[in-house]
Amino acid sequence: MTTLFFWIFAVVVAGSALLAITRRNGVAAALWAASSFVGIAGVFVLLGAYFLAVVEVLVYAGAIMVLFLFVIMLLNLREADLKVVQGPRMHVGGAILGALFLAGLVWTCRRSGLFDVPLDAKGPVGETGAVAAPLFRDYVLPFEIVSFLLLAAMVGAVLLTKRRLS
Amino acid sequence: MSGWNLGLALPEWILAGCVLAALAADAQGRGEWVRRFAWFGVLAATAAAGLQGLLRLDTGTKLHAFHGRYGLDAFAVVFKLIFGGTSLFILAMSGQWLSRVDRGHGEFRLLALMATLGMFFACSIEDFASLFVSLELITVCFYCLAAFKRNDARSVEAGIKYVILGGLASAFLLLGIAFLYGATGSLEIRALSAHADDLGHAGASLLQFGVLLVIVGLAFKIAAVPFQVWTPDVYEGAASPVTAFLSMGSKAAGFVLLLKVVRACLGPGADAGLRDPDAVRWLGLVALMAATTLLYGNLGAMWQGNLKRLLGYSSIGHAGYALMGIFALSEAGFAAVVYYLMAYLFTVLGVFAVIILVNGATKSHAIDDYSGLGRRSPFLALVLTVGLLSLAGVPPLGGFFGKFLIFRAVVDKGGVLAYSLAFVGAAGVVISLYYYLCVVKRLYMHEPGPDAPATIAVPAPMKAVLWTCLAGMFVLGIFMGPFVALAEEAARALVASR
Repeated sequence: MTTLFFWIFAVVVAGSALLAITRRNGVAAALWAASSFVGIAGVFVLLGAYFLAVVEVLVYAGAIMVLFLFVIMLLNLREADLKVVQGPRMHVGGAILGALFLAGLVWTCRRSGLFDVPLDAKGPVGETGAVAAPLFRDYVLPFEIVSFLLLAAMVGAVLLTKRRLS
Repeated sequence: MSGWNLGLALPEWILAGCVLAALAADAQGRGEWVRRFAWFGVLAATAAAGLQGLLRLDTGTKLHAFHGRYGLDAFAVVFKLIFGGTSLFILAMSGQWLSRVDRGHGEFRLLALMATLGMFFACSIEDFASLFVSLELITVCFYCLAAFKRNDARSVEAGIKYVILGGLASAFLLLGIAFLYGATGSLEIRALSAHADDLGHAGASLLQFGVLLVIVGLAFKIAAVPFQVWTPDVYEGAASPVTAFLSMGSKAAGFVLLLKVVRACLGPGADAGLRDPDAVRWLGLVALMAATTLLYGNLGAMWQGNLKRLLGYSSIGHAGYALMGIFALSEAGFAAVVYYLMAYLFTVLGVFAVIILVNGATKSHAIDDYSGLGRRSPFLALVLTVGLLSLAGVPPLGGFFGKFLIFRAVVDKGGVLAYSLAFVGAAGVVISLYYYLCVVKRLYMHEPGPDAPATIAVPAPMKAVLWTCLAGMFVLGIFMGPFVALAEEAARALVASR
């Protein structure tokens, strides 16, 4: 069973990645990339790394891809591309999908008893701790170097894009 | 091994603090303070690294911090001094050049400071995660610096070429690290040494492929064939102080990390001479890479009419010589690489200081525009001549002695492979003499062009850079004793760390 799921996810990851780099439309490419991230999250689930799976979906497929999409759409505002995401059919379809997603979310939370857990309950450390300990103890040095790396990228971006530098 | 021991990373703390202080000053629009913080940071960090080496390290000891993720030994200290020296020269050289640019002064110094921070980290890292991020820190700074003149098409082209090929190299490096993690179950570089015996066996393809990919990623940094295509274009397009920083700092950072990885691949034995050469199957690959790199660089440089482009090709050639030192796989070979980089520091930065000054007056990098420089600005022509001769390896200059140590280490190794590599290296030296001397001939034998500027003014910081480089080239070629001892100490520490 696990093997079957692995192959499904593997095909999703590789196939979406392939599609992401072959689409001419930037928006479509970004969405395929997001699909690839979801597949990777599935692989993390199979590995038992649930925390990583959630983070992968939240951060990569969620935040970063949304940012990407915004940038692509703002930079590349062509009529032909916009038609794909406009029109009443899109609105209705979006509303139905959104409602379905919300229903699924509520249903899952009810079933797993998540709604019954008091907010201040202390659960087991679990995987968050397993991620935190290496990150903030063993690998705190590379972690901090990354913060300077991001700072350098930010300074560089300002240098290369700001209209007037005094 | 365990424990935080945070004080050990004092040079990095100083640099990091100065980066933040300079950033705050830049945000307030106090450009003068950015300059002061940059100078103070590099000076204090270099001094701190040197003092640590003198006071805290006995011969052969290695101190650890951050739970064993940060190591300080003579190898790290010597390279931190090299990087600190490079940054000081770059700061001194860029002052004159920045005065001709109307914007981005604070950003330039900030990026240079952060690149230096990355280089300092690269000297002390102990695991592949830190290796990757410190290398990226250096490289991201250089991407932005290469495209610094953003209204100059060639500078932007250099930046884009560097970012795309650099990104590709980073991907290879990362994949290699993932493979090594899969093969050894650890991210620590020294975990490799426990598996060194497997490197020659057919069964350990995961390990072999991992090492190969890591070497690909690092070979891009040092501009070794076949990962060198970016070099001439980026060197030509980037601003001259950036090119100088790139040719010394970035290359030396690649060699620091390459030396660490190669050392780990040799197994846990503490003795140099390290292993039976026949057991190291991948040695042929290193020899091939060294030979093609130095032939490509030296042959390519022969037909260049642009001095910066010529230096780009010649820097590929010099990566080839340094790779010969790694090929020797002995303490003497590693010491030769360290010494070679020390000599290269004074030589190449001296040459670039002249290029910046001449370009300021002529707005050109064409070799033709250097005609008759010996008559117009005798001192600049002298420094350039001595620098080019040192690059070629003419005694009694530092470049000669560096090459001498490398050839000696290779010949001492013995065997057909070593002798043929030494022969190719000697051929490379002869070729390089030709094209360096062509430039020297232009300086003295040709008449200056009609619109050539008369004497080129040399501001005080540049004068200091030129004199220091000139002195450095002669000292490293004549009174080499203490520097050889330093390089040997570094190599001994590298070999002993396991």
